[in-house]
Amino acid sequence: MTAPPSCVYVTHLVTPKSGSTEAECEDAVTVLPGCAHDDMLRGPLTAAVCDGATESALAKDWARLLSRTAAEQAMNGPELLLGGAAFEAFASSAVAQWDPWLATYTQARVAAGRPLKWYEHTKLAAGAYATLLTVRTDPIPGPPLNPAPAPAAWRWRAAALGDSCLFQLRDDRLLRAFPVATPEAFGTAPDLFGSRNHDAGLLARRARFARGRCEPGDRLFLMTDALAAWFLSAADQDSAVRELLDFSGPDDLDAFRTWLDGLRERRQLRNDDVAVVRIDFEGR
Amino acid sequence: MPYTAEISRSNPTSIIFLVDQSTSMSDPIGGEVPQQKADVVADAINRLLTELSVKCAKEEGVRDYFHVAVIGYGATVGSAFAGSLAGRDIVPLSEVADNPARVDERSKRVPDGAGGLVETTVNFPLWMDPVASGGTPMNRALRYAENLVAGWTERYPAGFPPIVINLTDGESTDGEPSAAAEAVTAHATADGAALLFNLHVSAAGGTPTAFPDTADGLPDSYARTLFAMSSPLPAHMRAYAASQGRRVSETTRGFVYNADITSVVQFLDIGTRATELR
Repeated sequence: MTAPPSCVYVTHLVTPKSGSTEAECEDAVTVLPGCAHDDMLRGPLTAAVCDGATESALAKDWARLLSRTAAEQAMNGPELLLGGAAFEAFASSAVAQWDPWLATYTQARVAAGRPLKWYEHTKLAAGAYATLLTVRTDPIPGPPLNPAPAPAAWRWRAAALGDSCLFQLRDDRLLRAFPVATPEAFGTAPDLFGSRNHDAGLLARRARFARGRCEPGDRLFLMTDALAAWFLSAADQDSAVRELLDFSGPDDLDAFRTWLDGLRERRQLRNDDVAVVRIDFEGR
Repeated sequence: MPYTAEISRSNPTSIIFLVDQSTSMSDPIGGEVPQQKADVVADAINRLLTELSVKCAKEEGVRDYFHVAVIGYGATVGSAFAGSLAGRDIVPLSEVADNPARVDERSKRVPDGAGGLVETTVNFPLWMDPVASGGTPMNRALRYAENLVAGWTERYPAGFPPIVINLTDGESTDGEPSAAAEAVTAHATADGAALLFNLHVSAAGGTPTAFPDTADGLPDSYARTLFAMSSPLPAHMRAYAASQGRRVSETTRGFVYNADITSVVQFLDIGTRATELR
């Protein structure tokens, strides 16, 4: 008998709040390696979700830069997900990219005949802000010479600043929530990663770190706060999981938006941008 | 639950500032650097409009989460906007931000990045100038605001209700204003009654106070009347005030006596706040 193939599938969906355009969506996702939703991944995987703060300008640009930097650096050096000096180095390198990016942006605005307005100067002096959630998964190989090899497993490590959430499901039941565990803990003033926060030590101290193990059949979901709050507050969580599992790839984006709009109309979901990453561990 | 409606571009709310421009506003208030009351309220309006504009600023411009009126009352009652907005009542915030009457430069001390402060020059946009002329027709002003509030609640019946912020020395010359104030807050959307906040600038002395929960300690009947006219802060505003270290209770009102009122802008909830880690 042949053991079922052990692999990981990953997909993500990002959509703006009702009333906003695609270009105004301030949630950002980076998944590495870049792959299609039906690609079978057998190596390390990193994903980063960032939620730009409504009250800051250029929040979507900072969220994109931060998520890309986090996913890339977690792929190159997973120790940043353990905290300490490695996370500080990552934080410093992300922040160091902002002012050059902003200088280029400012020049482009001037070139386009739209120099920054007085209120933008005031606002951008404070920087842009976003939450951060980064996860990396690595396969743990089974014993190579075992005649009846145990299914493979995976190690996951995550870092979070703010209220973007990771959920681990086993048998499609919630096994673990990180870093927020209750719907009451969500608010309008989460911890945020500031694009001009040069205090890497403070960022590392306020970040939360977690690790765990996934078995075949487990799933990880990464969600920004509105959807995470809905999930944690669902009266019937089994039903909530089933609803989420209806969306497994980019072709489901329209249906996903329709479903979110329905939740908003029923006042079950706060009107906010939504990003979700779904990681399925196969092989059971 | 009241006062929980989303404030967005499709569901904006209005903020109506009433500015006392009567002759008595030329009197100074106390303090280390005496200032005319008219200067204090004009400065407060310009700072409030600056804070609101910056709060709602995005890269494509200022978003119209709020529509704003600045109504002066003194020799006349009507729009107190100067410059290209002169004569207009409720104006989308993006237009307000893009059309100050002028932009002054002021010096400001900012962190130097090494634990100290350094003096720098900042732009200070101005939408109105100090005026002190005529009586204090506070009843007329409140009726004017009521009319704007009524129109707004009809236009956005499910939205966050309008907020009226009255900046005055309290010395109404056209009668006791409490009934007119009640008429303003009698208008409501499905989300709650219109809110009326007051800034009292006074030479009566006493301790400056912001958002008190009792009239005890207020120096005179003008202050006590304005306190009584002021709406209780909605729960989410109280929660934010408490998070900033203010002492609040269920009877905390939107009333400020001889103190900075610009923090009221931070009470307004338009989404995730942009705050640095502390």
